Parts: sequence; C-alpha cells; structure tokens
Amino acid sequence: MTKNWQGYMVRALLAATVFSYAATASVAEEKKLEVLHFFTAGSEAAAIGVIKDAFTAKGYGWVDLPATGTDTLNQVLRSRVTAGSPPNAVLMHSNEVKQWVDQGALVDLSPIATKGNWDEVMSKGLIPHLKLNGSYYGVPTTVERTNWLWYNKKVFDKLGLQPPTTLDEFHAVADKLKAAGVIPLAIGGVNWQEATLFETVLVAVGGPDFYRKAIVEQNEEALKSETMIKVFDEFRNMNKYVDPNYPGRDWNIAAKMVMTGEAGMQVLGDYVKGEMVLANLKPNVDYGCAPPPGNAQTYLSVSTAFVFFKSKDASVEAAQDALAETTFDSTVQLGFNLKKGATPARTDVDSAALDFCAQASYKAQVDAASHGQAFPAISHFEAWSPAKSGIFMDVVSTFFEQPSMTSKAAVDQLVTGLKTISE
Amino acid sequence: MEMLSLKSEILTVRPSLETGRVRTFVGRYTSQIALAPSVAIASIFVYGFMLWTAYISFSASGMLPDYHWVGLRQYYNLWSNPIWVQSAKNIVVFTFLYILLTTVVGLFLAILLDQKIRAEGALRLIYLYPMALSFVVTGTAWKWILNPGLGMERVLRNWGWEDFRFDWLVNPRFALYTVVLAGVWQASGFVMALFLAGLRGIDEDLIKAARLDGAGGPSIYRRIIIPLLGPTFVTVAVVLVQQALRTFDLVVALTNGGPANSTQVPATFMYKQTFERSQLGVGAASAVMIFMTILAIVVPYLYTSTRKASDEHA
Repeated sequence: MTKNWQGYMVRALLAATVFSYAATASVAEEKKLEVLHFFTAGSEAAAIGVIKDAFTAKGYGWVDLPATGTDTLNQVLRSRVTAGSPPNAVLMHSNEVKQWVDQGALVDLSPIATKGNWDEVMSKGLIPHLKLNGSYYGVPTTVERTNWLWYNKKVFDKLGLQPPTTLDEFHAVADKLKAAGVIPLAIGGVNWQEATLFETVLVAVGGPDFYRKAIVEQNEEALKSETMIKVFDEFRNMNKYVDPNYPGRDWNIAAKMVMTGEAGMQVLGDYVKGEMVLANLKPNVDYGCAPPPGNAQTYLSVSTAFVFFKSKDASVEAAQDALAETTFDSTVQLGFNLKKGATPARTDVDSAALDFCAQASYKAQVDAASHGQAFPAISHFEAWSPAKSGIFMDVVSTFFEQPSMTSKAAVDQLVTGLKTISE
Repeated sequence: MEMLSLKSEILTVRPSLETGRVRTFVGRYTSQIALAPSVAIASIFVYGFMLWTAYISFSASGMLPDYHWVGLRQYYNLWSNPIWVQSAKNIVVFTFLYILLTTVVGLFLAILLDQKIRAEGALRLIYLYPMALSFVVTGTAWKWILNPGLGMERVLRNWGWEDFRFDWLVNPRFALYTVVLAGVWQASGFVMALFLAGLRGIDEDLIKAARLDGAGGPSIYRRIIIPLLGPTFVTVAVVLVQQALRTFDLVVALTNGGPANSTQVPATFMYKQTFERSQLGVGAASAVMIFMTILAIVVPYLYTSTRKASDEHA
C-alpha cells in the first residue's frame, strides 16, 4: 500500500515537472511578457487592467508581477537585473528611465515612436525623460499635475471666499478660515507632501523662469540666490496655517480633513480627486480644484512610463513593441486615465469624457506647454534623480518642521548636500 | 519500475555503510558532517555578504553595484550628510536612555514582584506581555496614544484639564524621547523577568545573615542583593545594546524619522539611502559604521567572557 502511494507521488511529481517545462515552452510560443509594476491600489489596479485587456486581446500573454510600491519594485528590479534576468516590461517614474538607459539595459523604441509620431503627440514635459540620445526608451501611461489647490467648496461658499490666485490673497483667505475656526491648510508632515507645497511657493515667489533655472537646470547660482532665500521665507509663513498635529500624517487623511470641512485647503496632486470620488463628492459642489496661488500658468507634472528590458530571447521583442504601441494608443490612454483619475500623456485625446478637474488639468497641461511652462515636479522624483530629490526633500521637510531653522541655513544645506551626489 | 530498482540500490548500499570504513568515518565526524551545511550557508550568506557590503562601501556604487574603487569617498559623503550626523547622535542618546531606563524599571518591577505577593504569576504575565508584541504594533499603538489630536492630550483635555500639553511626538526637540518611552515599555517586562530569575537564584542564607546583623530592607538590596546581580546586569546590557543599535521598526512605525528628521537612526538612514535613493555606496558605508559600533561593544565582552571561561578551565 505504502509502496504504491510512493509510486504515485513520484509519478505525479514527474508529471508536474514535465508539465511545467511544457508551460515554459508555450510561454515562448504565445509571447508572454512579464510585467513588473506598482499599480496595486483600487483605482490603479483597474487602470492597469485596461492596458492588460487591450494587450491580451491582441493575442499576447501578460504575466502580472505587482509590487506594493516603488521601493519594492526597485528592489525586485535591481536584484533581477543583477541576476541577469530582468522582467520584460517595467513601470517606473519617467525620470528613472535615464539611469537604465545609461546601463544600456533598455530596448530602443524609436521605430514605433516614428510610426506613432510621438514627437508631435506626446506631452511635451515628458519627452526629455523618455527621448534620450535621440531615441525613445519609454512609453508613458499617464501624466499628473502635482500643483493643485483643493478646497472645500461648502466652507468657501459659507464664508464667501474665492480660491486665492496670489500669495497675498492666500494669506487673506487663510486668515479668514482661521478666524472661522477652520484649519486653513491640511498637510501631512511627510517630506514629499511638504515638497509639493514648497514647489508651488517656489513658482509663486520666483516665477516660472526661476523654476526652470533652479530646478530644471539645477543652476547652483540660482539655488543659492536671494530669491531662493525668499522662497524659504515665504514657505515658513505656511507654518501658521497648519494644525500642530500634522507630523507623519498620510496625504489621504489630510484630504479627508478637507472633505469634512475640518480644514479648508490642501495643495497636492491630481490623485486627491481619487479620494473625493471614493467619498462620492462632486466637483464644484462639495469640493473645488484650482491652481495654487501664483501657479495659474505653470504645470508641474509627474508621470509613469513603461520601459522594456533587453532579452536574450529575440521573440520577446515583438511582444514588447506591441505592448508599447498598445500603451500609447489614444483609446487605451483615455481608458487608463479615466480609471486612474489622471490625464492622458498625449495631447490629441478627446478630453470630453474626463471629469471637470481632469479636463481643467488636461487643458492646463496643453496651455502650459504652449508657453513653455510645463515642468517636471521636484516633489515626486520627476525633476531630479532619487538621490538628489532625497537631499532636496530632507532639507525642505526639516525646514518646515523645525521652526528654528533659518532660510539661509536651509539654502546652505541644500547646496552642500547636492555637492555630495556625483552623477 | 525505475524507481524500484533505485530503491533496491539504496538498500544494498546501506549494509556496506554499516560494516565498511565509511561507517567509522561517519561515526568519527558525525557532528562535523551535520554542521557542514549550516556552516557553509552561514559563511556565504552572513560572512560573505558582510565582506561584500564592506567592499561596496569603498566602491562607486549608486543604483547598482559598481566595483570601481573610490577609497573613502562614500564615508566622506556619509559624514557630510547632516541627517547621518543627527542619526549618529540620536543613537547614542537613545541607547543610553533605553538601557538605563529599561534596567531601572525592570529591576524595580522585579524587586516589587519578589516580595512573595499574591497572584505573582498573573502580574508577571501582564508585565511580560508587551515583549510578545512586534515593535511595529508597539510603535503604531504609541503613535496613536501620543498624538496630541488623537490620544492622551485630547482625552485629558476632554476630561476638563484644558491646558494639558503633551506634544513630544510632534515636537522635534522631544520626539526622540517618545521612541525611548515606547522602547522602554516594550522591553522592561523582559528585563524584569531576567532580574527576577537572578533574584530567585540568590542564596536565602545570605539575606538571613544580613537580617541578623540588623540590616533593613533597602540596605539589604543596596549592599547585598544588587551587587550579587552583577552577571544579570551584564546579560541585560548586552541584550539591550544590540537591540538598541539596530532599532528600525520601532522608529518607522512610531515617527518614521520625523518630525524634522529628529528621530532618524542609523538603520532607518541606511534603508532610505540604499532602497529609496539609489545610494548603495553610502548605504553600505553606514552599514559598516553600525557594524563597527556593535563590534566595538561586543568584542571586549566576548574577550572577557572567553578568557574567564578558559581561566575557569585551567
């Protein structure tokens, strides 16, 4: 009896092994792609499903490798690259593409880019990240605006307030909210949230040209100029409008404070709307969206893109090209971004299907690009490398949370910190 | 069928094992053979990677390992980072206070429990319970308790003590002490158990003799019992030091290094640099610094304890 049982076990194991070999063999035939991404939250997972469905409808296979965040994704990606078997397709922030191009690890998408006329139809702010040395290496899924002011419409209406368009107006509105017992500004003491507020102040104080010089071009003279000190001075004023319990607060908790009317305003990206939608709130009824003070003409963006790692298996390349084409298809872009609550990464999509705030965001992107004011956001690792962004966020966050720190000290720390990063 | 023949082969090998020279070899080196796999695994995955990390700390590594030798540049970058300097200061303050307070509280609880009280077992369990929790749970619970808008401060204000203030968690000058507080809460029960065991091991006759000589309670503890607990103190210190120096999860759950980076510790710094910021070289350099610190504390301890052991054998 026992002997027989063992025999079955052995046979079953053997069979399983044979089948799994067969399965790997059929992977090559069906041209399956391993796709590593970090879109796991409800709306994000639904969005990535749009690409997946369109891709598998073309007869390709999709092996889903979700990571719980960019940290996990990077750990997985680095160890697999080091081991010599990178995933076929990887989702990453657009500014991270360059470091992999420098490693010579990515597939050149130029033929598809020429065919699809990417130079003309892609959001202008993304091209510097994705087109390197004259060739395209990444295909964007989405572009999001980070400089938004979200406000509680009911509270604003009750107090007779309008969303502020200048810093002076902002102070007036914030003081009125405070007098009415409402926390003027909801924020979490987490470095990227503070950096998001900071970059809008930087645009408001220094103007778009200063943003281009100091942030996009990383000009050291600009970074240690008097203007930068003024930016920090103005950023310090924001301390007055924040409640004392903000350290460590998550951004969605801060968004909830605006929804309930406990707080009046929040400065953060497109994705805040996802929270509003989840809570069944309506734009221009319950909440409003407007550019932050002094940011009307400027569009700061964060975006994600698929890149494709070179593979020893030549047959994978066709599938990779197909996924690149599928991702950038207008219908897929619209479908993806309807789910994600963001905006398409191309400028020729019919925006009528988007909701009010997304339409405003989409229009702002096109307008800003036309007068050269569409920039990568520094708060979301879009403008600088992770190492440099880290230095920036540490300084901004420490400054905001440590009221005794002077603007001069912050600027000095930023400039010396950046010098330790050699890239 | 093939399987069956394989099996009979195994069966035929076995008798020769029992009679042949192989048997004596196996017999003589059983312990070595049994240990060999774990020694091999440990030497690759623990010591091998330690050496690898040390090498990386002298290399130009950024996002991926890059084996170009750059000497001490990563260490220079490390020490010119104000947050690393803050982390280094923090770990000194934290370790000192954590060990001091945990020992004092643990010893005090042990002495109280040692008074032959009723329901000692139940009380001991209550004090030991925090140790059963992970630091993440402790950190999250204390984060809620200490948050001024959510926990203790709010409760006391709602009870009518309107100007009560306890905002250490959100105040960069005091936030580190909240980490100490949560850590002490977690570890005191364990230290109490160690001391209790030590107290129970003390010869009753010594205490009786002291009583006969007219010594009162406090002085018996001060002059006789606590000095006799010497070895327990050393054990407690060694356990707590290595726990304190690699503190990570408690900080991540409680403050995540904030506010204003006032609660960053070397381990959180290392994680951030290596995994969030693509600064593998700086991360490795900070890991080596942590390792050196632990080495500086543990080596003298190992040295004295092994020498003591060999003295006893001699």
